[in-house]
Amino acid sequence: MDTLSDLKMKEYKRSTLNELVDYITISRGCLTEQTYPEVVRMVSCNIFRTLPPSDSNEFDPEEDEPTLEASWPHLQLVYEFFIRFLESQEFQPSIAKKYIDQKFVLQLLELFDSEDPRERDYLKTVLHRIYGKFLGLRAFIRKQINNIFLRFVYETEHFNGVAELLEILGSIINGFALPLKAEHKQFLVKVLIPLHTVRSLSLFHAQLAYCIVQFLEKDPSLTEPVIRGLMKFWPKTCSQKEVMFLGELEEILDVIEPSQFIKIQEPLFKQIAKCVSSPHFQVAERALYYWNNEYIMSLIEENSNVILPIMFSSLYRISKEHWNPAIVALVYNVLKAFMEMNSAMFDELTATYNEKKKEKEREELWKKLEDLELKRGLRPDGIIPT
Amino acid sequence: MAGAAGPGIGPGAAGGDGDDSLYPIAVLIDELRNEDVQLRLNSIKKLSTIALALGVERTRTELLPFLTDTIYDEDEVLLALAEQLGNFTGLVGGPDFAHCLLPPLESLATVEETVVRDKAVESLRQISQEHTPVALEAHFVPLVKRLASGDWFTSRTSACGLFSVCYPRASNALKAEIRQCFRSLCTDDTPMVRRAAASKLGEFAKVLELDSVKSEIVPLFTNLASDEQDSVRLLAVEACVSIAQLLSQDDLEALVMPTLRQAAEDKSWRVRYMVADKFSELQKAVGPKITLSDLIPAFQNLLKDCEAEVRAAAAHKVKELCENLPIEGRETIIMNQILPYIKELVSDTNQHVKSALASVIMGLSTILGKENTIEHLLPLFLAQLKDECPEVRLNIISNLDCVNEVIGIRQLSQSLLPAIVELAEDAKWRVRLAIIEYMPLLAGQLGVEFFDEKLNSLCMAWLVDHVYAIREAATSNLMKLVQKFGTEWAQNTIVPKVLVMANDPNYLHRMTTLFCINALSEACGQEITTKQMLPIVLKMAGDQVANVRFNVAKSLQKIGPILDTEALQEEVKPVLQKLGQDEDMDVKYFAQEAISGIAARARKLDFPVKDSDEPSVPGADKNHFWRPRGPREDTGKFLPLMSRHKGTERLGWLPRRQERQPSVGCRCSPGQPQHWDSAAAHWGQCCQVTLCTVSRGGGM
Repeated sequence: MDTLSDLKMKEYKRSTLNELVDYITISRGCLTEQTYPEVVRMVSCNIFRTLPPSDSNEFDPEEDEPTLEASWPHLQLVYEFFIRFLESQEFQPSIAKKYIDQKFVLQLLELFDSEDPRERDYLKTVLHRIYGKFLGLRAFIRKQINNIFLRFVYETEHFNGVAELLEILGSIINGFALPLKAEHKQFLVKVLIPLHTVRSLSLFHAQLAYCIVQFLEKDPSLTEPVIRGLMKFWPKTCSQKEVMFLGELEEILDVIEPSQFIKIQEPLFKQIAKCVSSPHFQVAERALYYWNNEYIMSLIEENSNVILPIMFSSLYRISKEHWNPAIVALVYNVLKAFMEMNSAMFDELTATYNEKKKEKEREELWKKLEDLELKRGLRPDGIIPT
Repeated sequence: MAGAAGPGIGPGAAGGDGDDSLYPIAVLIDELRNEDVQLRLNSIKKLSTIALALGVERTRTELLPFLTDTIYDEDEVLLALAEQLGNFTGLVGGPDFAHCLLPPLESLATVEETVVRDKAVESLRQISQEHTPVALEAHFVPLVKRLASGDWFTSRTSACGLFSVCYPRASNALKAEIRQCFRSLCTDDTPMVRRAAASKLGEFAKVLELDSVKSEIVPLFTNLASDEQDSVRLLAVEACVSIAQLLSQDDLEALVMPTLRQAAEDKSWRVRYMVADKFSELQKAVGPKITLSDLIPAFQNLLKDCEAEVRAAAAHKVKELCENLPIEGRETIIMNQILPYIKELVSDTNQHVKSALASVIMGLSTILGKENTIEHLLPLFLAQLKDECPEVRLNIISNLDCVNEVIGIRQLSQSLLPAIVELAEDAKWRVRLAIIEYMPLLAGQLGVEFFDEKLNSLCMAWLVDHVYAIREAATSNLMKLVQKFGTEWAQNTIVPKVLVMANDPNYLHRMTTLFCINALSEACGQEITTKQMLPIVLKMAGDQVANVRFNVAKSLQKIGPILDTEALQEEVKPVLQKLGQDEDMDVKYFAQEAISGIAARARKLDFPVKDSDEPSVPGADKNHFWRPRGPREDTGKFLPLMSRHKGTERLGWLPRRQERQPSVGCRCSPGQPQHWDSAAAHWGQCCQVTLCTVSRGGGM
């Protein structure tokens, strides 16, 4: 696109748009019924477009500078105008809903993929206002956001506006009525939790964690599926993501009810035990910081007879083996805390600590199995294992 | 699956019949419930062994229900399970019982993770073929219908892939139902499902009766091609290829072409890109008449599309498009309707477009013939050889052979040379690497004289490049040149220059001499190797840098087979023995490897032909001389992990000890060469091996 052609006309357009923005802000009685279709048409003509391909072949939002929209001087004014229109005291959703319909919203949602953060920011405000004012579109908007996320997670792993959409959802979830509808629970379990698997999680993790915690504050009984979901998708190779997961988990534990905690403590602490013994010291450190959290400490203390046996062998081993002295120091503090909590069990565990035995048994089993396979492969009845 | 209680299966259940050999199987089944994913995975991968041990009956009545009930696991385990079940028909008792496999696969086809679902669908497709017609109607088709009406989008997307395998073998009544199911998925509310349906539309059309294609598939196609989401519309373009193949020219014009024309001008560049990308397939599918009337104008538009992405995709197809035009009138069409647009693209603003064009444009010369090539194409080639973007120049050079056949390379040589020289000195090492790879080809086409005069010095300069990958490529390039130009040429031009480098102050260059000798010795033969190369190698055994010394040992092992026994006994052996006493343990290790390697060969020669001086058959002993891998024992040595940076390379002259820092924590087996100038090769060769061992550590 040539940004330097038709400079004069571009200037006309800009000043006209400016006038429109001023007019709609100041004037009274300007939103007659006839203006609605014209406003929506003008906005549609200007903002709805197929977004161009990304400049860099593999656009990495964390590394690369976003390509800024060339027509932003105009676009910004159009968005500005549209927001004033939606926020105007004279604005009547009952008239506007004829023009701001499902198709309009769908096109609006597609624009969230824009690489330009300025545009996404305006879109966020626009969508939020529309969601607030058009009750009839709410379910549709939620469903379409659903689809965008599912496509993002399972098909493309590419969508620039995930953080913005989650931010809007955060405020939507906040307003959900109790008891939660099945649709909302499904959204949590089948869409929000799988969002954790995406490679670019760091770009929207804060917003995602906020949504999750909002859900749990609404309905604590969702704690178990959420935590089990996080366990299922726990990062296996990416330490940065592991640290994010641990952060989110702590946010969840901050609001967990003791009765819910008991339900998930076993799988939860098995995972924490693994994190604590991670060779990546940031992961280990982040997990060990849980013991600085008073509320979490109180939960651990109440359930030390379950948690201590799970954690013990990891802690004991790291206290001897971890390469990072800071981690070893932290682990000593944790061990000390456990010792004070439940000294009888601590002593018993120290006495019976033995790690190698199980490993050996397993190795022998596999050896036997291979022998068996060899024998069976040679059997005369002709069945050969595939 | 962890912690789930399996009904009826466990150590007791399987091992209960007193057959001791079944005990490991029982434990293995127990492992299916282990907490550790890796262990469950190992167990699932042995599922066929378990089934074999249980026998067909118990596999059907116990193992499969167990698997079906406990499908909640990590996706990795589920993926392995989905794959295994595709080959399970024999293990449940053959085709008569194939339907027993459907319940677990049905569950797997509904999970969220795409990879698992796709694998389950693949296995279901496989198993469908093994069903008897009766079982297909009684079990398989109902499953497809269940999936197609599932609540969550996952099961409906999976269903899309199953229609085409069951349709041909179903009864007419069922066929109508199946078509109805597919129709409803094409208009599904969820775009994911519509995408899945659109991507299977072509495949489904192929198994339908022609009438149904016209009356049912075409409307679906038209609908999907005008979907509100461009991700759906672009998939319809793919389907268009299959559908077009099924229809007569008249039907094609009436039913498909309006949609295709619309797709080529779609407002979304993704759809236009798809049209460009599938252009050759479309061209073949619609036939020559419609190609001329419709596709060529569409192609012209794609070549000047406003999005570079689309232009590049179209540029890639230029050669195929031209090739597939009907031979009669081809030249005129290309000259009048295609070439003007190509000329524009040569000076496109986008480098991807230019480089896409450069990768195919040379192919046009064979189509257009000598005169047209010289008059019309040559100026374009020359312009592209001077392009500012190295990739464009490289693409031209890499396809020189096409032009060579038509007009001979000499026409180009004047422009070629500056282009080659510039690429050879490009700041990006990948560009240099790419041009090296074309050297043997160029040498062959330009001839030995031209080569000696203009290119030889380049080839030698690469040997002292500061990037290891370039030096390595330069070495193997020399070998290929020797194969082309012969030993005499090698002796006169290459070998002396290589050997001089043995006295270079930089130890990396001294090692390059050794690497060159490794590569050249076989091509040069016994005489040159013994008389010229061996003395140098032996002299380098006294080098002060350990890396050079152990590479001497490796070189001696490598060139050993080429030398005669006398040289081995009198010259090589004493040197290796001395190196075997070296203070550096790596040098010691490789010296011992070399001694035992050479000894093994001597023994092998001794056995069949005792007392005979018969030389070894070239190549016969090769297997004995593969490069040594790391020894099993682990000495726990830490090696520095060096990057490809110039900065570290400048330290290259330092003796190794001063550079070694035990801080990086990347441990390699001591047997591996210490590539400190090539982190990439290092990772590739040693560290990956180490990593693999670590990750397998949990299991076997």
